[in-house]
Amino acid sequence: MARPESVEELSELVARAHRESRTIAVYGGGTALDDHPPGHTPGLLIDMGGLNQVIEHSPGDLILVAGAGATIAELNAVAETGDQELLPDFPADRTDSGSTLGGAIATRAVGPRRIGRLPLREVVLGVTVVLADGTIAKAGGKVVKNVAGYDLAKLMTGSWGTLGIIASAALRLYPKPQTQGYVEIPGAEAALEVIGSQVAPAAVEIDRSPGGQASTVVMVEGLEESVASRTESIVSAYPGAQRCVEPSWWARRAQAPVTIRASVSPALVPQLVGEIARLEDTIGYPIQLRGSAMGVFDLGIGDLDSDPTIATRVVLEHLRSWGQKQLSATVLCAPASVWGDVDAWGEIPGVGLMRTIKDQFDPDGLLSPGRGIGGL
Amino acid sequence: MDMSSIESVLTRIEPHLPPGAIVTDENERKTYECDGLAVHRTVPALVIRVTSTAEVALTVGACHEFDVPFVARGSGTGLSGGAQPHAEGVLIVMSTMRDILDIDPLAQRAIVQPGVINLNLSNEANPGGYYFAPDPSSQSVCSIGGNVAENSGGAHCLKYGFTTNHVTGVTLVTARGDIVEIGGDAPEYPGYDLLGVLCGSEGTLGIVTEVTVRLTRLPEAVETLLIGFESTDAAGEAVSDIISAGIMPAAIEMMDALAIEAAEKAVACNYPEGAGAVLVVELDGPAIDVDLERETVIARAKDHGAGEIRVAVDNVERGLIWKGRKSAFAAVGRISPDYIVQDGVIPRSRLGPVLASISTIAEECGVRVANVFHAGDGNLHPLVLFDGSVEGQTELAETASGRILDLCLSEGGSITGEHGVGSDKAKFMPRMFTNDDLDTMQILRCAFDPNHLSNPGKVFPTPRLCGEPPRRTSGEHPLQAAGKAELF
Repeated sequence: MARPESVEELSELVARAHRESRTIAVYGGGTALDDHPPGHTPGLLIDMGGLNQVIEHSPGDLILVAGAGATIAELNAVAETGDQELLPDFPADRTDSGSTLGGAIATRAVGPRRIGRLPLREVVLGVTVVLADGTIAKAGGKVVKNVAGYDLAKLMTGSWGTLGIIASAALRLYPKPQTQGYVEIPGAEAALEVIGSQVAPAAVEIDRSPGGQASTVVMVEGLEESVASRTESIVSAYPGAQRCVEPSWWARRAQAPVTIRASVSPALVPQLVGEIARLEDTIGYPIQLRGSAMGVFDLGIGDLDSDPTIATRVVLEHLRSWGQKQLSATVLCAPASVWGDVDAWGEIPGVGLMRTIKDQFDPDGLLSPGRGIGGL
Repeated sequence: MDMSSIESVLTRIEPHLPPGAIVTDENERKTYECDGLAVHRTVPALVIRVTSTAEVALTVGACHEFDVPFVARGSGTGLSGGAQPHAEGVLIVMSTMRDILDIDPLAQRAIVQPGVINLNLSNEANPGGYYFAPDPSSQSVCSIGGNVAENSGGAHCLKYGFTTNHVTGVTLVTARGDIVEIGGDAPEYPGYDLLGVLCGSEGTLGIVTEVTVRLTRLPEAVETLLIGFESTDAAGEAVSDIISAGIMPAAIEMMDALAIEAAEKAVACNYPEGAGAVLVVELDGPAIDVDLERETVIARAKDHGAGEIRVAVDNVERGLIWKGRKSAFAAVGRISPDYIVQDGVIPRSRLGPVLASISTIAEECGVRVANVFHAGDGNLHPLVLFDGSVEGQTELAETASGRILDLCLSEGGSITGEHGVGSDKAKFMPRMFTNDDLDTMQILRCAFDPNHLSNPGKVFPTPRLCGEPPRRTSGEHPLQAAGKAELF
């Protein structure tokens, strides 16, 4: 186990592990350790906590450059000194538990504000990474607009540490909105219409507890006067809609033995919600649904008293029958036994190219073995 | 030049292509010798006008078999020579694949062939209340396939993101001629972000033959302001103040006096007379937000001595304001026989000092520079004006242009914000990136195109041999010695 204090030290460590054919795992805030299959015991565990410096903060340019080990909470606090915040939205449960910049990028962490904010992959302006052999490479830069060379920052975003170790990254900032307002609408039927409406929501989340009714919560943000007027227009447009405070579950994942991440064409969101209720009835297992009406949901399967393997398999197979053009369903989080017993990934579009990329970047398979999708 | 490989490709594909798809006539091939960067010209050995994914796969497969380079070309509007043909290669013309296959407002998606003109998609999607957000100045002629290759931006990308943020799926023909489906209608797919690296790869990772794009809701209100300032400094400070007031405009564009003069001569856009700089500020979103933001913008502009402030009252006025800006490149042709369009990026807050340095460079090189920029994101388009018929002027202009890029780099910026590297700027890449950085990018290239057949010679100054063993470092381990690391 090692805790490098600089990119150079990180590079030395990795180069040495490479020479010795040691596998490497990376530890940031530990908030995604339960996600994806558990890695094998690594030959070297690198704690990124020492690489937590803010390298540059320029409120005038709306950018912040920091070491991968800096926590999202710390960085938001830094941004707040300029009355700004990180532009992408992050899951609150992970942020509260010390999620780091590098970890959030490597796992493509995302919060509910998928409509009003640009996604994380779009706002990581540049990264410095250490490759499997210790080479230090940077891609992108620290300016908002830049198309010089391949966008390796995007390649690293969501790579689960399997292509390189993120040492630092430049992120876009955003003027902190004056206020936020929430409106709850019963059912899931209104969600699509709200997304397409002129109230310009920042987030539209659907939450459905096992056996319960779905509800839609819309978040708008901006100037106080505008938020008041827009929440009012939602309330008056939908029967049963009412203003509410931020729900306790907002930006937090459902707690269940197994979580499936389902991503679906927005047009099919109402069908997905209905389908989950029917599946729950049919197989007799509780299924929690929570996520963005833009089409990305976490499905919490089962309860603490029963083995969720069969239910997980049924849900995956059933959803995948919709076709990969419309929907992708993968296991995000599950007990070790479940990973081996279900097809956790399904058919992944472009997986052949992904394997080739992995082989090119890490020919000896030393970086985070088994942690990536499809066993990459 | 050895043409036997080209003959082999031709023999292989000819029986499977419709009449008219194959262009061998030299004069006709010559019409494809350059893209929007006309200084780089190469006549392709063979031109194929394709109409389907299968035809692209067939052609690329034959190129792979006989080791022939190929270059994809959309509308040919690129400004970095990205679609410059290869003299011994095949130019695959995609502009013949221009069907909009589906528009689905409910799903906020459209499926298009790569040759579809950017603006045509928005025009088709408008009646349903949607549009395609990336809007490069060339949007009335450029193709969506080209937008994907270059990761095109445009005036509105500050708020809405670049092309990469609006693509959810593609059909890719790999450099081997295989057809691979990547992504789809869903917003997220598992695994590496292949779409992210394909967007902006400038045709070097294969050819995209179908694109699923995200459509964006037309905003409830749009307000366009034209604001005159005494100087670019004053305008630049106003931009800073607007952004620190917490406003994220859909676009903030700036033009300096010379650019205004050119635009005025070309399209009579009626910009404020005698202004040292103008800002075009566009606000969009819910009507109430736009109303509130407009007042803030006007107040901040006045703080910096704004002269005339014109708010477009209808689409005609808005169109005229934008016409001045969007035709600026072509317009400088009215005031100068020749010009180089530059595309550098700086941290926006450095605008003032950088503009001062640009004018010093212009003086020292004895050329004039007109400035047009996306002021919100620091993307500069200095237009270096010169007369190529005067001996030595071309070299001076190139020197000035290169020095401007060096200036951008010294400010921590980039050599290209949206026009791409292409053949034009490959030589500048080592100034921005180390050898290790460039090598790492080419590791990715090796995964997609190990034989370097897909648009070779672009982006990178020197190709990396694929299959090379990764560089190994050696030496004693200082961390262990320092007690910071422990092996187990």
